[in-house]
Amino acid sequence: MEKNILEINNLSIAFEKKELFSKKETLYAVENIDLNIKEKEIVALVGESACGKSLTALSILKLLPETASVKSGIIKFDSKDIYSLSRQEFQKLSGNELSIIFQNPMSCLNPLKRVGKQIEEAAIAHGKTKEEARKMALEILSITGFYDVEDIYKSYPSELSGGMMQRVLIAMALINGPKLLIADEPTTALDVTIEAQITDLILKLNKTLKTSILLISHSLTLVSNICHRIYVMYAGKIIESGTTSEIITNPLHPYTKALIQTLPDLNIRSKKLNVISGTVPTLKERQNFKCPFYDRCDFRKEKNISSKCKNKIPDKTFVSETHFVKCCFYKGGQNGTD
Amino acid sequence: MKKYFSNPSFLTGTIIFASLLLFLLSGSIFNRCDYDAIDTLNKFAASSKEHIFGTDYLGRDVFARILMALRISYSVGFIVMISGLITGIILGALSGYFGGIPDSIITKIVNTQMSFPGILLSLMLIAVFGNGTFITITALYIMTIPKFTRIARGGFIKYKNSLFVTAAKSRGAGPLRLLFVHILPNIVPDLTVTATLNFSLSILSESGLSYLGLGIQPPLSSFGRMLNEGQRFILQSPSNVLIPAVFLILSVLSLNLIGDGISSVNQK
Repeated sequence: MEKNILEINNLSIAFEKKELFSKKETLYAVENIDLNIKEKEIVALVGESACGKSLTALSILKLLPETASVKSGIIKFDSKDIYSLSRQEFQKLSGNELSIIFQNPMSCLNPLKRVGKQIEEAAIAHGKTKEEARKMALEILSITGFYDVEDIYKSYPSELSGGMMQRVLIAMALINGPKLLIADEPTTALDVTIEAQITDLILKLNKTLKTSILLISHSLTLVSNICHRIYVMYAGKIIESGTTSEIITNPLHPYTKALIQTLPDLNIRSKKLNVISGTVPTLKERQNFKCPFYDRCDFRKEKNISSKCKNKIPDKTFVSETHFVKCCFYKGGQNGTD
Repeated sequence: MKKYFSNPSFLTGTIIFASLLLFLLSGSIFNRCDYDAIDTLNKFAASSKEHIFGTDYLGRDVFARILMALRISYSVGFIVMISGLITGIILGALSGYFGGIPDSIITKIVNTQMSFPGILLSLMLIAVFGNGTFITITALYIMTIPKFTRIARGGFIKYKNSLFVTAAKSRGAGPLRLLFVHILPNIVPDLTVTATLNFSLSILSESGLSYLGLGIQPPLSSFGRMLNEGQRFILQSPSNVLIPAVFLILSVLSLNLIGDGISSVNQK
């Protein structure tokens, strides 16, 4: 069996709000999540906006905003607990073995520095000389699909298009050949053709550089095309996980089902698209019920049961070795009441 | 640079400033008189080949004194500006980027200092430590720190949570690199405006102090001192007041125009 490159156990992240003369308020945004990624694997973390996906990604790189902090849990990268490493030790890892691509490429590049210099930076910061770094930067630029690498190297971010900037960011993240790449919605800011290019690129890099990838996305189509395994996240909790085919063909959690049903189907015309009614509960509302999907769950409403869902934290039920679901209704092979 | 030069106030400011510098340079080369050579037989002399701007009440050559005053004004202004800028950036980085206790201490001191006029502080310092060029520079320097600190602090706060800084952090850049390689270039425009305006303000303050007899001490000449000496004989020889006044106005005006031009171009 391949080694786990990233292991997250029981991770909780909370925002703390403190106002003068009032008690400190702790609001959990990510609760007790377990996640692991093996070598050379592409794993997806899927969910709506405001589900804590990006927060999870940021916590792996210790880049959480000042107001948020890790409350419990262990994040092990390459069997090293990253929160027990000193700042210097962690600085050696980040950008070198562990790197991230952020959501919006337009604001991730320093507007006053040449693109090439910014790409090189990670290499220089991890002990390469200027000439080596320059060579590496040009090489990684050509891998990421640029032809006129010298020109790109010398240009400023304002001179590039969105897709080019995104590829520059990918180049930047990959220059040191990281073991794990976290791609936080790498294609949201891009149009569909560029999205296809970027997906191809990610697949290619996974094969050639043997990089493990954690792909954070809300697009099931994108994810089902390239990922080996999927974690479905909702309101700060992982509610279902399995291999891509297991999740897509046999979704068990009502949320996953609903999510898959929202995808437009070309064969069924002149029918309204499915929606999941309501929005993700706010951090405060989440404290009122134990099952995160309680208030929007159509399945529960149909069955007209509320006490159990509201008061019981759903257990992890394994369907197969790789596939588990967290739903109070799930028993045996089918969803059903007791 | 082109967009700056197409701005009329920046252009005028630069032309005046450059011609003043040129005047200072060429004047220093061709000047043959000593700025503190007294010749009482030849006081209030009119403009002549020997004394281009005439002489003052002690018969000293006004042209040489103007050159000296320009040199002193500019060096005082420049030293104050550069040292204030560096201190401001360091303090601003400390308080803006790292925050916490240092931030509240620095902001409180800065706010306290800004709450009373800078000249008052300079007067106090001079009263305690005595006269002299060095004390003048120190007093003016302390006077300018709060402004630079505030501008720098604001800039560092604005950019410290921006995505490109976070991205650079994720690439393994340390705090010093983030501060001075990534954030600082982005706040340079704001700092330049403050710096040029401070340059002119320091020149003005130095003249003001010298006018009161507190700043630059004789035998060195300064615009303020020349004005003070000239005003006693203003009816006898108005040029002794007018010439230093014109040079002082031009110096301050040119720098203010430059600062104004930079800020209006940056706002676009």
